[in-house]
Amino acid sequence: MADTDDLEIHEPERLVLSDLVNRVLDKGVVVTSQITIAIADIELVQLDLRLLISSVATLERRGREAETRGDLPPRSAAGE
Amino acid sequence: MATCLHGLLLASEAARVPAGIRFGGGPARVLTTGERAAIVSDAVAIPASVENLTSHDLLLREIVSRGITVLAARFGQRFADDAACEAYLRAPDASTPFELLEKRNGLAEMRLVSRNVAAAEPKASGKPGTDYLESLKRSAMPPAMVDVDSRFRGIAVAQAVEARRDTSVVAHLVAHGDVARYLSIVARDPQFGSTAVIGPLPLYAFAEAS
Repeated sequence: MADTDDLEIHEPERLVLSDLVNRVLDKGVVVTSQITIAIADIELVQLDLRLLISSVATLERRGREAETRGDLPPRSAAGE
Repeated sequence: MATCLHGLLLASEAARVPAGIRFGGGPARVLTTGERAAIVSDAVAIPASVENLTSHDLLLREIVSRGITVLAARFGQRFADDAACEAYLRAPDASTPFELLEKRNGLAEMRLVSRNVAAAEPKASGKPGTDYLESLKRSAMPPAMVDVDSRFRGIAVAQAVEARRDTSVVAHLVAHGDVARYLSIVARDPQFGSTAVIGPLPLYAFAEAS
C-alpha cells in the first residue's frame, strides 16, 4: 500500500505534470493541419491515460479531416 | 527535415530571446518575417513523451521568463521547412494570432491547479455502474478555487476556469512585472496549500480571442 507521506509529497508534482499534458497537447494556437503526435512513453500513458487519449483523439480526428481535405498524405498502417 | 513550431511572438521581442535555446537536445531558434516571429526547431517526428512535452514547455517558459509574451503553439505542429513557416507568418491567416499578441503584449499566463474534492455521498442505488458515474459527477472544485478572482483583484487582467474531471484549473493573465506579487499572494494564502501554481507561462488558456 502506498505510504501516505509519499502520496502527499508527489501530489503537487502530479498536478503539475497533469496540467502539462493537458496544456501542451490540448491548448495553444493551432496554425497548421500538420500535427503529428506519437505516444512513445509508457510513463506518460500511465500518468493520465484518459486525458491523453482525449487529446490524441482530438488530434487524430483533425488529422483525418486534413487527410480528407487533401492537406495531408494518408498515414502508413504502422503506428508512429 | 521539418520545422517544428513551438510558439509565436512579435518580431519586436525577438531580439530579447536568449541565445542557446534548445528543444529535445537540439537547438531552437526564432524565425522572423516582418513584424511576426515564430519559435521553431528541427525535428523529423516528435513523440509525445514526458521528456519532449517538458522540453517544449521549458523552451517557451525560458523565453517568457525574460518578460516576452509568447503565444504557445499546440504541441506537434510542423511545417515542411523554414520557408513554409515563413510563408505562414506572411499569410493573412496569421493575422488573428498576431493581433492577439499585440493585444496581450506584456502579459503572461499563471495557472492554479487543484485536485477536485468529493462532494457528499448520495444514497447507493445498488447498481455499480450508476453509482460509479454518480461518484464522478460529485467531484467538485475545491473551495480555494471558488471566487479565486477576489484574491487577485488588481493583478489579474483576465481569468479563465478549466473544470476537468479530477482537477480544476484557474488561469490568470498577469503583467510580467506582477508575477512576483502573484506568487507572493499564493504563498501567503493557506487556502492554496494544496494548489500547484505554475508560471509565468506562454498563453494557453488565453491563446484565443475572447
